[in-house]
Amino acid sequence: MLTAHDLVFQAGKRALVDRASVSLAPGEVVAVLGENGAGKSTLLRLLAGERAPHAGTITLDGTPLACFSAAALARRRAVLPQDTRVAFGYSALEVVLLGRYPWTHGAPGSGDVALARAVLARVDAAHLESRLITTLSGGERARVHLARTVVQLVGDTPDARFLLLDEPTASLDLAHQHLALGLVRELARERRTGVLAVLHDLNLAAQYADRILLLKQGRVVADGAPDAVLSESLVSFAFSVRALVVPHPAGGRPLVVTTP
Amino acid sequence: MATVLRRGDDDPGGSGRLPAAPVIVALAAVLLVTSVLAAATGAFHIPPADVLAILAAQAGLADASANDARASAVLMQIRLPRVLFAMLAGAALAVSGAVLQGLFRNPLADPALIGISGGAALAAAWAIVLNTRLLPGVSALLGPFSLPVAAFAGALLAAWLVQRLASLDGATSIAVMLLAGIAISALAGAGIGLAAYVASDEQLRNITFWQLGTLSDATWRTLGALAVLAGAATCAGLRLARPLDALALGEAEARHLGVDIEQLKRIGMIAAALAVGTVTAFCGIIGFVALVAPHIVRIACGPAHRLLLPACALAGAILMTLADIVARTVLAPAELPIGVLTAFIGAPFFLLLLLRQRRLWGA
Repeated sequence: MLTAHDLVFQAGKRALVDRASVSLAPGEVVAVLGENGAGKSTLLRLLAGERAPHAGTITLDGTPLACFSAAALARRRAVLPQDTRVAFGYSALEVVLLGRYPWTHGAPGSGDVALARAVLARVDAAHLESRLITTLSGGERARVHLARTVVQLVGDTPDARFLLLDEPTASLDLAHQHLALGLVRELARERRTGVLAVLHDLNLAAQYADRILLLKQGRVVADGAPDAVLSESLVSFAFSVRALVVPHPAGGRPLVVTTP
Repeated sequence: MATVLRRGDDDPGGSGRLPAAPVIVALAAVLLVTSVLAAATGAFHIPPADVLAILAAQAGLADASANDARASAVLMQIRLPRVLFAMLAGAALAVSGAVLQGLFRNPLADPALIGISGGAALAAAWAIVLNTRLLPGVSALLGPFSLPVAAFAGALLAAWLVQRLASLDGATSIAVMLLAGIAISALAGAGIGLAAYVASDEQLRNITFWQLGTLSDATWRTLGALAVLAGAATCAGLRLARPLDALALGEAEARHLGVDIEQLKRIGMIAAALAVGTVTAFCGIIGFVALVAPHIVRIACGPAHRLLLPACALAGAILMTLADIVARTVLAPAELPIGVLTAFIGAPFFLLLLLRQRRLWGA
């Protein structure tokens, strides 16, 4: 269980994250929604341990995050930033293999290579394996880095894993958005992984998330099941738009239509 | 699919790059040939076959009586230490360049361009001047190590300064890195000028000569000191391959993968400063080897440091040995300072790299 309690993170006098509490259990997919500047990415960075909060606590299975070594943490949770710029021309497969860093000493073995190839295939990037990461398009790059974070969590320890994704679908086309979120939901279900993903598309969140965390001005304004959080009043409040919520024609999830 | 299956696991990158083992073997073979050539070349020519015969005799593998005593003396007293010196210095510079480029996440990080060699030279110049005047005790104590120790301190200070200036929030600004290098080099130049001003005539000759970069000080004694210090630095650098690969993703990403960034930077900087400081102390400022060797290797074998670093050691040794051959023959019987030669080759190379990178940082 990854638990954050009353997190505060300030930039100057402005609180980017203001007394936010979050919990993430293995097996569930949590979507973080909110308008620009609501503190979604900052919250994710705090949970990743990238920044230390000015107040509040973050624990992983009851132990404060700060007590974990970087190496120990790397075997428990992986982080996908919005965009990763690789400094040199590594091939896509080499980049995915870097995800095996916490588990390998020396060179990655044939098992690691097979795993990396399998996951690359899962994100529809098998054909990119020999391409240089620096020559890939934004969407191709995003899939390769998603594969890297997925292979990072494969290991022989029984602990629960956590996957923190900052806008994993931002540069993906429609088919690949479903592919990516379908993959992480499968990870959550089958590999005891808690997934927290910052998303922009409310309907994508409604379809794939077990729980939605709605942020506005650094505060958590709602935290619950999609049909509870995606109400007309909450959506119009959080995003400053008019919202109409109808049942999805293909299934019970809510469908949100917005107008200015 | 067939190509995927055929590709071995020792080449997980694919990308039509050269595989690891043959590259290392080929580079080692080229280095061997180059070094024999370098030992043969000079004012007193020793045929390559004789070089091998003399070396075999020295190793006790062949009869020494067949060899010319004069050739044997020249080879063992002058040529061999010099060739080994060039090889070691080239290897140390190239590996330190690759490590610095990995740490700064940019192929333009050359120790001479970002002020690290300048810092080393400044400290070494003052060590030369102060040695006989103020600190005879210290130099007696440290022997051949006194100059490299001073240069190491200067190099480390410069490296630390550049890194502090150029990095902000886990990202490195290349422009700031190069500008800081200019400032530190200018400062070092002024400091060396001041040292030259107060130096005695003999010290001045030493300082000027060595500011240009030269291998003329290569003796068995200095070679020993270089081998210990630069060798240790190179070995430390070679061990950083895995974390340097992870760092290519960015500092935050590398930390998420479990890399201890602070330790990586500390060890990398110390290793690079020790290598550059030692080489600078014995040979003066030799620029661009640290830039050219890693770049060529990256083109041939890709950027993965597990192969890049050892291949750089070999490529740097080859480049330096070749440069030394040219430096000793082009103006024979006079000798061109090797630093001048590497600058003539390396500076246009750097401009070429700059042109190709220009678009990246919106010039």
